Amino acid sequence: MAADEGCRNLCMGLRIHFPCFIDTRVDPAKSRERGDSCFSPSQKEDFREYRQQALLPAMQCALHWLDSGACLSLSISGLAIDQLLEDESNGADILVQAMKHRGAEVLGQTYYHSVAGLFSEKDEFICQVNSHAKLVEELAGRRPVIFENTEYVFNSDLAELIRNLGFSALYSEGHDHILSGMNPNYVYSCRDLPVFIRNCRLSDDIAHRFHDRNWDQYPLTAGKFAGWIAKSPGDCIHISLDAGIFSGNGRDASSFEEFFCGLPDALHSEAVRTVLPESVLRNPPKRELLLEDLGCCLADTVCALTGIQNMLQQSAFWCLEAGGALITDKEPWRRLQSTDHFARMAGRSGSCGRPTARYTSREAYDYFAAYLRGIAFYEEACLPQQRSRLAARALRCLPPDRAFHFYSPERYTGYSAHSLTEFSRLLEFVPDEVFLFHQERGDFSRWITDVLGDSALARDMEQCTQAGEAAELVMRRVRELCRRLK
Amino acid sequence: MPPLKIAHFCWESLHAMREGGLAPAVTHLAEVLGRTHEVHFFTRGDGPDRNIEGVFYHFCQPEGENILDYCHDMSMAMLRMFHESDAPPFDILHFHDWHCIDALEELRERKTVISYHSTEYGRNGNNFGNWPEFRAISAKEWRGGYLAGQVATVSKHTKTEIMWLYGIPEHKITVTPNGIYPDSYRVRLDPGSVKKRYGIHPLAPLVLFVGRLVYQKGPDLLVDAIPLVLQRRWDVQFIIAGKGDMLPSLGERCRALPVRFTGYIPDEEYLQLLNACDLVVIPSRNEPFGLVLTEAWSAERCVVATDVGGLSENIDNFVDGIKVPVRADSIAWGINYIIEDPIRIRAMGLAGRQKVVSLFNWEKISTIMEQVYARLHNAGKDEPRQELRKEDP
Repeated sequence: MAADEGCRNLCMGLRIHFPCFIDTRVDPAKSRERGDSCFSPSQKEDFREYRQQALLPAMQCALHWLDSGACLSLSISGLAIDQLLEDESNGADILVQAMKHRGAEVLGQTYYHSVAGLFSEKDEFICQVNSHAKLVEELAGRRPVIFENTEYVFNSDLAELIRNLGFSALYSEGHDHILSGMNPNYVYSCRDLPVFIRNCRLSDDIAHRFHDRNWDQYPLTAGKFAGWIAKSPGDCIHISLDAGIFSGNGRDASSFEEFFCGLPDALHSEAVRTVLPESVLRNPPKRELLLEDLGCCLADTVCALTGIQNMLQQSAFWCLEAGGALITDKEPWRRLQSTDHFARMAGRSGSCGRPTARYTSREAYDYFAAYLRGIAFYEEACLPQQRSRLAARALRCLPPDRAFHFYSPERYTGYSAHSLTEFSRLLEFVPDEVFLFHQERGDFSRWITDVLGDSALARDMEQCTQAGEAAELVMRRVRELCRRLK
Repeated sequence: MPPLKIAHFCWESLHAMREGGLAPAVTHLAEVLGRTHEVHFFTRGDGPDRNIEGVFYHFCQPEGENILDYCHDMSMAMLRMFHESDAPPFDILHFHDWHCIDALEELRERKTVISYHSTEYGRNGNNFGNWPEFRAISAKEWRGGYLAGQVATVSKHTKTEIMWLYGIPEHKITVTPNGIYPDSYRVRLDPGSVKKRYGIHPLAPLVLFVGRLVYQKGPDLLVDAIPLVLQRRWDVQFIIAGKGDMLPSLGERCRALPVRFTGYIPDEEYLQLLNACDLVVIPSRNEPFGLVLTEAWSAERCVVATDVGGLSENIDNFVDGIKVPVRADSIAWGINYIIEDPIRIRAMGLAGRQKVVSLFNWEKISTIMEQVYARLHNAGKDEPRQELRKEDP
């Protein structure tokens, strides 16, 4: 085949991350034996299992790649490195060996695999990016130059910020059925920052369809896959695989390892080179990337790329963001920022090389409730240290049993306020009949007094006759209470 | 093909009195044909005759105590207006649905086309009726197919239906789907702000039904499906837009459900809702074409539709929409299946958009219609009856 017919470069990436999930079965505020944490008590055991089933096989395959002269980019969260360093195995040594390898390049990211990029204040995001870069520099000997933001969180403001933080390019991802004809195998740019786009279809061919006997391309062999790469048009194909898929999900993991380890030879025989992201920078950007290209309407509040796609995630995100000022112990707050918590609040997650997961509506809600209980637990614990306990109490996160549930005279409207901030945002659009229903019963002032302990606001609230007026009143109060906390 | 003088007879249009999907279909067809032919449009409405978008509109205001008398009066008024404009004589007379059949009866010696946009049997939810109106309207539909030189239907399904119902020979019938201007239905907006106007959380999945609230369109099936949807996904909200006989009873049944009934909505509001919703549901029992389908696709919306008529023909299952049997539990299954997967919803909407752009653009549809006219126009010249005899076994 002539060299100009297909893609000659492949940029293979391996993603390593293990979150601290919340224990949905226990309320940390009530449980005596649990004591001081909302996170799963079996975290260490779970990590050990992950290390044994997925991480070590993945790292051995990675070293095989690197030793055979192929290149590999590594995307490792600081949280995963921490857990590996704490672990009493040789996992950390293997990881560091791979990170230091001349064929490897470690990508920059947030330390805790965090949604902090979406916070209105970016200082937490910057702090996490820098601490991750510092950790990588300590272990691998050089600072990352290419940035991969957590999962699909991406927008043009973030691109500008990442450029200002000293990174040379940014990774995003695009499903080819929503790319509207745009080829992900070229370099694009956003606010003068080169953007690489992961090829989700080819990534998922390996991550999701490899074990699928109903797939018309089953079984996938290294030769067949290398042939696809060679035939795909573009400058460079970016593939990303999560280490979790090396566990095989209960299927034959050895056939997968055989496939993965056989890839470098197969690629070589198809004259496809494996390259590092940094070297892809030599290709000039094809054009400016528009958010519409990635299936996102600029004005959409619901956007696949923001990572916040449903009401539960939105409520949880607002509570998390407000928690920055209310939780003085930053470690648990940062662990709560992981996108994995948000993925558990959606029905379906996992794409572009990540393991898939499906949760029922009930499971998603249970996780959401446990997550809010977790935030509320840490906020309550920090109350004595706050400058204004009244303000901290009024602004704190409320689990569903303390939230304000909006009802019309006939039914539940479908939304609830899990904090005073969310209460004001919901008041902006509650229908008049809903507002009047609660106002006439005195529900608003009772909730504000009994649950939030802000009797001054409750008195003012009683005078409101319209939802818009109440929304403004509450928002003013929120701003005032926030000032008191500083 | 030389320019023709064409008369359209239709009881509704976008520029005067509008009832349902017939108005945009016929108005836009006339406008596209008006670019190369002289097109006159006889319809109901007020005001003097006038040229709108290259089409000569002739308006009448009929009267009648019942729908049959009313349409007879309208046909006679159209006939009078037609004769006033018949010099030089019209080449092609195109009638839409049964309302103007009495005019067709009078003009049966001319070169006539009738378009079936639906049938009385279909409008009655695929049921025969034994009441006088049903029988009279069905008789008119049969008569129209018998008299007209050429017959057009909006889908293969309607073609089969009129062949079965009225014994119309297949060689007279051509399938000409309804076209659409996709760009008029795609609006760039913030879906969240539209949802907020209806008191809906900006991140709640919104399912939209648009259509007349009559048995044929199956809004009751959707209402029966809602509790089943909520069992698996509690946050879904519904908007049912449109008016009709079933509105009071449906409203009563939905009192405790997350459903908003908007009644009739103006076009501007319809566009906003169409572009703000996450999913469009078309639960029709009978749908000759299903204009809502092409409108939803134009706005890049995914559809869950019943596997009937034009919907069945035009939707590629699991590629640009989900087709389900005409049952409430199946409709609920379809909604639950796709609402969980925002990326596939978007992908199906985009696939639908590509389909309308390539298959349902008006230029393509008007060419098919022009071929029907050409066959009819040339019929006398080339002794078509002998040709027909040759084809006849």
